[in-house]
Amino acid sequence: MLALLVSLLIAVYLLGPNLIARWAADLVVFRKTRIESHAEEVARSILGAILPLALAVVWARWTGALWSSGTQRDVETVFSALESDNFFQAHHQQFFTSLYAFFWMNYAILWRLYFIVLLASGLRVAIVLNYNRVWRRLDRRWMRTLLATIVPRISEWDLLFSDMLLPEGTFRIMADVLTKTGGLYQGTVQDRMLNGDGSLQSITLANPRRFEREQFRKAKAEDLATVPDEYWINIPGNLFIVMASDIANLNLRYIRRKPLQFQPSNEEREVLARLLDRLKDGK
Amino acid sequence: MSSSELEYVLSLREDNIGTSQKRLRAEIIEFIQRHEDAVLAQLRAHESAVIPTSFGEITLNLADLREAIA
Repeated sequence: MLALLVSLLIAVYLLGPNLIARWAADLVVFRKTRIESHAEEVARSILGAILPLALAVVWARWTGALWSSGTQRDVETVFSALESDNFFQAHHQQFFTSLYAFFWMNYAILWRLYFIVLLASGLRVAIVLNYNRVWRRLDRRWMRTLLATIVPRISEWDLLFSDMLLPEGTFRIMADVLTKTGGLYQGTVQDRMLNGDGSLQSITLANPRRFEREQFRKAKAEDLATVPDEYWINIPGNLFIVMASDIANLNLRYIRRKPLQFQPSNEEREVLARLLDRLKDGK
Repeated sequence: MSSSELEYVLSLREDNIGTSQKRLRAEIIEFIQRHEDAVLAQLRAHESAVIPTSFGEITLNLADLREAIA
């Protein structure tokens, strides 16, 4: 029975907070799963739970909630009775009274512990969701590196393909994909699929197009003035999937959905204004 | 990915955004200047124009153009 109680206490005090923190992190980023031994996992949980647990205990003691529920003697009685049958037989009545107090003492700590963990997880999620806004306000490199510790073990591919950490505004991610067979494709990254270890499984391109390299080479050999623009062939559909195993290399470019909106120069304004004037005048 | 690596990738991506944005805008403006009549015809017909760029085809709406110079 004692082993059962200790297992239960380890689960609710150490593993529970870790599970909540992981669940919250999974809401906002694709974390890499790492294969850890049981001992490593428990050690990580203990280290992660120490600070919130200490805060919860201090809070419960400071408000008096801990000792108003029970005493240290109640704790000793419960553990002694569960360890020894003789003690249990001799202090049968006292055990159940102490068990009741023991329950409320744990309750006083546990709800505070989970409140702190939920609060910290919520804060972490909020920071990750507004990462770029916070990042831009930090001038020093060490401060930015410190901020990066807030982001859980994010997959490198998730970071590259996600717009979560992009600056404010709407962006699209364009990709040039060169396959191992020599095909060159281009399109807007619509989606990415990652494996459990965070490695790339596939990417999905919207408005894909393929470059006719051979035809371009032949044309270029005949006429040096040939430009590549005419050798891009649109592929119908917007779910063009390229498996990661077929990709030789990948060129990613991040552009605004409304590229002309962001602080246009005077020259750009003039060109656009002339265009709109001609449109208005019907010339 | 460690925090310093994350910070480094974010800095690289920030540079990528700046460079891509600059190049894309230059390509769009250059195309408009060189093919003004064709762009105008598209805007008149569809209230939008498709601009071929090295990033792919970019669709500019009339409303976006007005917003850009507002």
